[in-house]
Amino acid sequence: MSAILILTLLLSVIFVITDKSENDAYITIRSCGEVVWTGSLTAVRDETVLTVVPSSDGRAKVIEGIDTSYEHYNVISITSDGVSVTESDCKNRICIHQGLMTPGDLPIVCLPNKLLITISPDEGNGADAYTY
Amino acid sequence: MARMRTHTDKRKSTYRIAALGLLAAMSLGIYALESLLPPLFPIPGIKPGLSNIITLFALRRFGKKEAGIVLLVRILLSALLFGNAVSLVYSLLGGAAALCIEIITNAILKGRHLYLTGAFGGLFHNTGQLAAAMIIMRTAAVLAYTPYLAIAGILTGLFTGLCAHYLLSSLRVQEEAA
Repeated sequence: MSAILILTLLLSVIFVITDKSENDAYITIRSCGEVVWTGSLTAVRDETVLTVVPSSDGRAKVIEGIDTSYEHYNVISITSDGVSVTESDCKNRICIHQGLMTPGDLPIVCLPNKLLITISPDEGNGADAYTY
Repeated sequence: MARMRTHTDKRKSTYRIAALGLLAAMSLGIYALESLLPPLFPIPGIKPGLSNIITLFALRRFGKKEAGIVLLVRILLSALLFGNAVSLVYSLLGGAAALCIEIITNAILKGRHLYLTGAFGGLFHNTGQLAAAMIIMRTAAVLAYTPYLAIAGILTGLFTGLCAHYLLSSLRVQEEAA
């Protein structure tokens, strides 16, 4: 029994250590399971600020700039360095603490607001390849 | 004789109901306190999972049915008090996966090495929550977190398993002394 655990632990550590791939980045923002915004990191010149508002009926909204007048929101900042969540109404603020995500990093997740931001090497590759 | 047996049965079931209610309340209290702690790692889903101590204790002391009751009461009440429908799905899937593997592991190990049972519980709790995240977010991209959550689940599970082990053995010592 303990062998199974040790094996899982070792495999996980190996994955964590080797999980770094540097490539051009294709950003996908999902809210409530739907893709609401996509873009390429290399195409970003100035800082792009978006506010994503989740919706229970599957009509999530993306607003340019900062708009914190909604009940639930995540403010996302995209620069040529990477993506980060700068403001959120969620309780634990894990999405903000994840900081700047650069290509090859883990996706940013905000579980309470059902937000997921991924950077995959290019369209249709990486994490997106086994979506659906 | 028959009357005496029903009398002791009644006393036993009263004790059982009171003990399970107490365990459910303690589990809820631990869960509430834990949710006040700031997240240690900027990775969603990583938390100590201290209420697993109570689940493991109930499993060893009373049995699988009782552990299931305590767990279900705690999950439903915590969703009602501090959560919402979404957090209920996470808790239910994580809790159910953890309890199932804990029952199986505990049976295989015949009650020994409770820390291993706890570690398996932690691992499967996080697996269940990943499955919930995949359903709710409708994407497999969250699987990128699998290794991190596996490590965290095993380590926190080992810890809660050890806590439950020492809790059980110190109670046994006290009962033998009494």
